[in-house]
Amino acid sequence: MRNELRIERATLGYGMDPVLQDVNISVQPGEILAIVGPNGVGKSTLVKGACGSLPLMNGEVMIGDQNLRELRPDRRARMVSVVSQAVNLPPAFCALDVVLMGRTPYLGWLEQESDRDRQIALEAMERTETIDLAARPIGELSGGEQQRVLIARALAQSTPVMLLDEPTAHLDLRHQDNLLKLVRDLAFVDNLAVMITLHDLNLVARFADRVVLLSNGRVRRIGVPAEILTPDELAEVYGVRIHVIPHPLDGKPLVLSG
Amino acid sequence: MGDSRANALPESVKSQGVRRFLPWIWSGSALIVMLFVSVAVGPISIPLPDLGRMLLDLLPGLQLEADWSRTFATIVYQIRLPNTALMALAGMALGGSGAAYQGLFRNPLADPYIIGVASGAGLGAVLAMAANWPVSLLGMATVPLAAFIAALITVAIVYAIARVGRSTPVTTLILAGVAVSSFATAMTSLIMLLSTDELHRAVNWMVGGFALGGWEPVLASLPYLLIGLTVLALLGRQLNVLQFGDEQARQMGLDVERSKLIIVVAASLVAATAVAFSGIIAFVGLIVPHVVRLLWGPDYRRTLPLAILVGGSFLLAADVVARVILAPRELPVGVITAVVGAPFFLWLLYRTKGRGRIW
Repeated sequence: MRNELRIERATLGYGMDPVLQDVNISVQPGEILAIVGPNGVGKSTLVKGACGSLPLMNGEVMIGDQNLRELRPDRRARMVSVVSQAVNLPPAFCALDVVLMGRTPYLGWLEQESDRDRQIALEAMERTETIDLAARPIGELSGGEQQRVLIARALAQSTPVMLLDEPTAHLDLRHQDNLLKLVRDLAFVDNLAVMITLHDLNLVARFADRVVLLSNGRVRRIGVPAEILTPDELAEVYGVRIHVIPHPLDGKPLVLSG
Repeated sequence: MGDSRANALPESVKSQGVRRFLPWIWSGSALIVMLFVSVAVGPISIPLPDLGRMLLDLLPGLQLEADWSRTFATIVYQIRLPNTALMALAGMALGGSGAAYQGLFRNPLADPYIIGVASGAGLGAVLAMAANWPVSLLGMATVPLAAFIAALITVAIVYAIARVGRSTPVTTLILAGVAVSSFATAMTSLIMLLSTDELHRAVNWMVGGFALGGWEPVLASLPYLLIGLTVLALLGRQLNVLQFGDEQARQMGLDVERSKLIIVVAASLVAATAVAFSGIIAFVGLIVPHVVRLLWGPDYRRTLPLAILVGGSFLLAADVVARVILAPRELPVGVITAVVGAPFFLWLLYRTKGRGRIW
């Protein structure tokens, strides 16, 4: 596989304190890998480490045969893009300008965006159905729209790997659904390798191909949703009683607490 | 397919045609007008036709018959033009560095004066003067150098204190700026008290009037300002990306540390040069970028060069007011900018309450 993401024997943390140890994960092109675990377990840290913005304390992140550690920031950003939570965005920039900033890794220090960059940004906005918002300041957009604009920006980076950190956090049911359908399209149609952190285990069951369960600073298990989303695994990790029943429509696991 | 949709985009996104150049036309003409007004206004009135022809005579290729009086020529060429040029340059430096600091700290209240860089640079300049460095052209260049180094040290200290985690909140930035600024001002006063004879010109200078006249300070400050302002005007795209925070900027492929370093060095260089030659002039770097953003939007590729142009006109306007309001007495220009700027600052602070940021 040419552009798979591989995190190998990685230790991640801040300063001298490791948050996650001995992490071995790989994501294939066309696949959605979900990262789950309780608050504070290090899901966001894992995203920062996997995109190279947080240097690893140990281990390597590889994309294809490229080692992220050895790449300059702009080269890294051509390999992996990140969609973070839509909070604290500078509200006055219009959506198109925001998406155009996804072209940063392809521009030299004094270079400005070309017509081709503009074209790529507009196509990314078509893809995410944000083209009609192009002229609107992002501060005026709804949470769901902002999140789609950030996905368009990541798409404009034209990377083989995309990481998403809690993209559904502040969205209602319909927007959660639409957003994750879009993400699934990006994996299936555009053949991106997608790693996504999610709180909602039922969304994980519906949209993820494989799941990584983090617990106590380590990877506890990796597997398909049906293997991971079981009462035994989850009860121990989350510290609550868990019931899993089949979804009435498609039979996928439905996770309930209490 | 993108093409057809692109044509359907609203005018504001395409920003084609003349509209795109309007901000430049406005701010450019305002600067030219203010340059002319500043040269025209003074205790001795010079007939406008004479003045106009004296200025035209400066343009290359135009050779006019010099039928104006020698006194007028001396006043215009040796006093008013250099003073006007120095004032315009100081305004441009303050406007540009203010916009850069605001973008860098992602903080609407950052300005060379409020974050203490101006006082720090002032301390550096006074130290250099107290060390009795000669006021030759070479000596002129050492004062801004000392101011520049002191400004960099100040901004590093203020940033280190103000930083909370990965951001610089409004409150801590202002508090750190006030504390560091007070300390630098106190040290400056102490040095001036201890060395009475040499530093009376520094006293004048501290309140925003320059003690040195003629073309010497203009020529001495020009290289610093040219380099610094050019760098700032070119790095708008990097500042745009930095508005999303260090983390996202890094993920978009920006070399964050290098960008910030270059911007902070360039902004401190021009702010320090302005302080070294024109004294501490408050609030220009605060007001001008806000006005530019309100009029023409958030894009730093435009905000920075426009703040430089508007900064020049704004300080010239303040200076003209300072010279005529109590004529024949001339007020230091810093008094006018503070009288306008302090209420503006309070208004911004009021709007910022509870939100943490305002644009």
